[in-house]
Amino acid sequence: MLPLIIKRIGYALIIIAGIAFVVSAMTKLVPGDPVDVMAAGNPGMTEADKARLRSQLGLDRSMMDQYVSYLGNALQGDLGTSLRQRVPTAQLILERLPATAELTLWSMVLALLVAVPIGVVTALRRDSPVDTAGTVVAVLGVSTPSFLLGVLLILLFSVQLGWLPASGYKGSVIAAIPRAIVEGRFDLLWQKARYFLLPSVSLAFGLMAVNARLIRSAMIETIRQDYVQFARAKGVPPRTVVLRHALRNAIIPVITMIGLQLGNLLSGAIVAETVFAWPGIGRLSVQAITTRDYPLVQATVLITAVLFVAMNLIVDLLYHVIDPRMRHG
Amino acid sequence: MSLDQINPQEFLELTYARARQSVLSRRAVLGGFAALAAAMVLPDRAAFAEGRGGTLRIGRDQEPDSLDPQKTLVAVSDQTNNWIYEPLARLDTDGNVVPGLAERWDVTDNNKTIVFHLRDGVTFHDGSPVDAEACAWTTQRIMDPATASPSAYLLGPFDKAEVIDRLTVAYQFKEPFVPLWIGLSSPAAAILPRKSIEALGDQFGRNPVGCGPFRFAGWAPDTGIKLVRFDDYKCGPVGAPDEVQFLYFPEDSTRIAALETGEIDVLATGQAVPVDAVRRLRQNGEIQLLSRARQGLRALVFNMSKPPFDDIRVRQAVSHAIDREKVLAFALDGNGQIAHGPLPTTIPGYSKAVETLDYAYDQAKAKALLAEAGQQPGLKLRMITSDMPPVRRTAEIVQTELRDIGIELEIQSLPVAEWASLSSKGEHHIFFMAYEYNDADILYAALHSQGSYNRSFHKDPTLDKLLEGQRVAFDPAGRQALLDDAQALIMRQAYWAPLFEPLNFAALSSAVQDAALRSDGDISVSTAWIES
Amino acid sequence: MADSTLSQVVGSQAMGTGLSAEPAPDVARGRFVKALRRSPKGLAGLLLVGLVLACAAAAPILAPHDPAQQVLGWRFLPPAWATGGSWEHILGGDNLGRDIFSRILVGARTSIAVAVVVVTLAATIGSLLGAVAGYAGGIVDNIIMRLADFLLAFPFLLLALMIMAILGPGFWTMVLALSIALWVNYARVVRGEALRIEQMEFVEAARSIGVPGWRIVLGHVVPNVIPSVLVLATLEVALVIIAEAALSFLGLGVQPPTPSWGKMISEGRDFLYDAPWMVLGPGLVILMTSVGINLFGDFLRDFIDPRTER
Repeated sequence: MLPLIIKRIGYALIIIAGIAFVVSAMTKLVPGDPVDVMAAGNPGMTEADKARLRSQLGLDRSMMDQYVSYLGNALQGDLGTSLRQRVPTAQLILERLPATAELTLWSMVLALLVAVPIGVVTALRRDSPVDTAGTVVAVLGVSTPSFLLGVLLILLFSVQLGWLPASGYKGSVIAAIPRAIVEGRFDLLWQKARYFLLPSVSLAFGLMAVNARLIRSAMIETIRQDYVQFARAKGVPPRTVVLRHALRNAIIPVITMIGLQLGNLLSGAIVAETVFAWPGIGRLSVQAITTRDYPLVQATVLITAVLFVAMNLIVDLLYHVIDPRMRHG
Repeated sequence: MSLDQINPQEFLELTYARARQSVLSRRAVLGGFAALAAAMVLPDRAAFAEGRGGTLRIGRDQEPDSLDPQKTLVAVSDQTNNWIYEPLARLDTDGNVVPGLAERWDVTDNNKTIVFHLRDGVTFHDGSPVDAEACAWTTQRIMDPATASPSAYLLGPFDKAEVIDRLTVAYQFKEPFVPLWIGLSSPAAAILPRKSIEALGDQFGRNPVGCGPFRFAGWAPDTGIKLVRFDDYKCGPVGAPDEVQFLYFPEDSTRIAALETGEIDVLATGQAVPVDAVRRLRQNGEIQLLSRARQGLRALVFNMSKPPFDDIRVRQAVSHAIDREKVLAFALDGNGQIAHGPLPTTIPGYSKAVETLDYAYDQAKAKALLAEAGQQPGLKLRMITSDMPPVRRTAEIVQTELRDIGIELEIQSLPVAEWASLSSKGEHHIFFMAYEYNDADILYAALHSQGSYNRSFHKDPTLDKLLEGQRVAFDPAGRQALLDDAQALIMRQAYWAPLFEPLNFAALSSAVQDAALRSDGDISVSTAWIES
Repeated sequence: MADSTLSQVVGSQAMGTGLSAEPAPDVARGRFVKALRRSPKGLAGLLLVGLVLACAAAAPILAPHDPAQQVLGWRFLPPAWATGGSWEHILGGDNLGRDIFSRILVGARTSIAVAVVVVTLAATIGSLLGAVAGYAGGIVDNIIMRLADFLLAFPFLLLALMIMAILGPGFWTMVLALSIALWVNYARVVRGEALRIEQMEFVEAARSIGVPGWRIVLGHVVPNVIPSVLVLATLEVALVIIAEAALSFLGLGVQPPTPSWGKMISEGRDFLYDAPWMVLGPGLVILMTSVGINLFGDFLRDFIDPRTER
């Protein structure tokens, strides 16, 4: 397995270096630079002022020059300094990563909590009204854009009913758990969790639908397998058959998908973060692009790509570990 | 007579006159700017009645990029830095130059050097003393290429600062510089503590230390900034509230809901109160709504470097084709004022004569002018606008209006970077001009053939001469005469089609007292307080 | 879902069916119609899709008003069933005094045009590259598949944002950005199929008698993958419509005066409290369209590959 890991990591590094290169090249093609953005609100700034600032910020260096030095620094763990906020880009990313990560986590938890039972039940009761209802939910799920669902949820729960905040982030729920337990203040958790509800539901709905469908077809597949039929014939109680044998095996192909989904969510649910003003990586990267903060663009794209690739790598390896067929075959 | 020949007192008067003209705010196209501490006109400490103070929670639509005043050009950063830092001098509500860190100053060396005498006993929030040494170090830092300061340009031909004694420092310029106070009174030129900056490194912009009326107490990125009153403030009366919080809400609906539910007390600066929310807020008896004309203008700028706008009749036709009443009603829900010239009424130097040169709404005349110019219906034109909602909406109305006279207008509504870069290339036919400025000299930037913000690409030696003349005119009356001529010429030639002057709004809960809206769109934080 | 999960969702739909692994049965017209008649899912989908297509085609006739006309009295006009609404403006008026119903009708053309062009482009390019990769193997395969990996790892919206910044927002920029993101799915499906077919005896035989590679690809690979590609393409139409709306929502879409559903929702979001109908109309239409396409796509998949359903 070790050579496989090394090979995969090698591929991943090439892809990431390639992404960094494309981003470097693109920043040179994009019209307007950070100085244009800064000067936009300041008509008093002359062309000479702008030229001086450009050279002080190092914007007059060639693209290859910048790319090579960037890659060199990145390998040493230095992702550069933001041209706008003037602090290390790594710091900016680390400040926002937890918000994105926790939103990803809760969305996935929510999606699976619903998807697993739906998937199992619809697989067992094929062609029953339950299955049809499941199909309807699944179709609705893949058909609803998260931004639309987000706006509709805000309309219902914030504007009409006034139950939940329309946007914003008031800190991590997970980080608040110890304090809530120690002080017995569970209302603290709710104060933070209410901000998570709408964004995670808007992201979870689509994931739930996709995963419910996947689990359903995987279950149907496994139930047909000899060993499940055999267990059933042997008189193992149906509940045990489903949970111990069928579901455990059905979940394996689903894990690959979940890995991809997690990678995608982490690399920025940009639209959801925009709808809910969520201070995550997605919004940071959009802001970096609009202000032409080149080092920050590089860093956010690089980090999200690394997260995506790493997630896939982990899933792949996990797959090899848990799938007995893979192990022996 | 050149500037280095006149006597120092006369030179100072000239600089004061320029500062006064710039009244309160300064620059900033995409949001109001701040400069000054209107606020410094305060009752003194003894006058504070019991109960004053409180925590003022202010909701904003933007967040500062850096609170290192030498490393930012963003309006909202300056609007925050105003409370944390202290410059050598400030401008009061009337635009008078009043002492800040410096008690007094004199001009020497053929008007090229200003000698500042600092107040004694002033300390930074970190406890280190504010002295001539600190001033010299601060200016060295802003001029240092390694700082890459975007705001350094505000100091014009500044050369260096020299320490004369502990409390005396000489600011030397390469040549006499009339708009001197605009830079020197801004946070960009505020005096900084070497000790803290060297200790904090690049984290200084996140943990600012100054010697202004409020002390920085915390910044949770994406959430808010907390300031606490600095009781040892020596350069003016101390602030009224005990604590000020600037909270960041990028979403309009959430920000407004936060005010309505009492989560915050004030909405101010930038687009914190979007025009579309004004009607709703006005109906709320619990909320005070303040409004004030902004020193800004929205106009269509015709690209004259190529057809069809090289023909004055086409420019006039478009000017006649737009119903500005409709623009106001649709895009701004009535919250604005019709513009008649290239300057808004709020900028000193506005020429009332332009109102007689106005191109009234008359589509028949517009069509006739187009036909006269030999343009067929179906003429295709391209317009560049920024993607700010009110601007975008105005552009869509202009598009419909022009369609009625047979012009197909393609709109490119672009994010700021593309907007700035593409418009300077001159491939457009019409540029949607949106500026905020405080001085009539904006005409130089926007209409002189060498101006950095010239998007009409015309060459008019007569206009160039007028605009150069107003820059060096010594007496205000002479400058006004030149500005009158320039504005009349611009309108007669229809270089621009003025649309409207926007308004600034602030909304406050009824518990907030003594808050006034400044012309930069901020409220006077150091006078406002809240009943607890 | 339309966020950055473009390829993933469709990928999963294709994967869940094991599409590429099954030999495609012949698609006889009669059997298709019969199956469609028996499938409420397929019928409902076809009906919805047909309705949207008809509306888009007849938009200039059906639209009661000029979608760009701005009338002061129509500003924030509530929909017909609400107090103050009128049947002349069934879905009400927007912030610039335009008829929302007319804008939705004309906006359908934008959505459909983008979807059709993108899916055609992505399917053609993706299938070709996939066939070449699968057939040629070796270094060519490696390059194409690494390119696919590269695109998967590149956050889609950031890529789109940069392409938009370089080329300027507009119809063709949007088409380009979406096509770049979507060809990968076809390439993967077709490559899998090509690899499988290559192992087959008749291909071996054809090769041994000197049939050139491109003819094998055209003659055997292409016909075999058409059903899978067709299903994928149908499902992706919904995806593209959603993605177009999402990009327009972020301000990256077509430019005015062309109405677009996503842009209407984005504009309406600023008026959620006072004029919720500005969001509801276009929102429900997007939903309806993509539900229709997904239902029909599901049916098509079951029809072509019945194994998953039974």
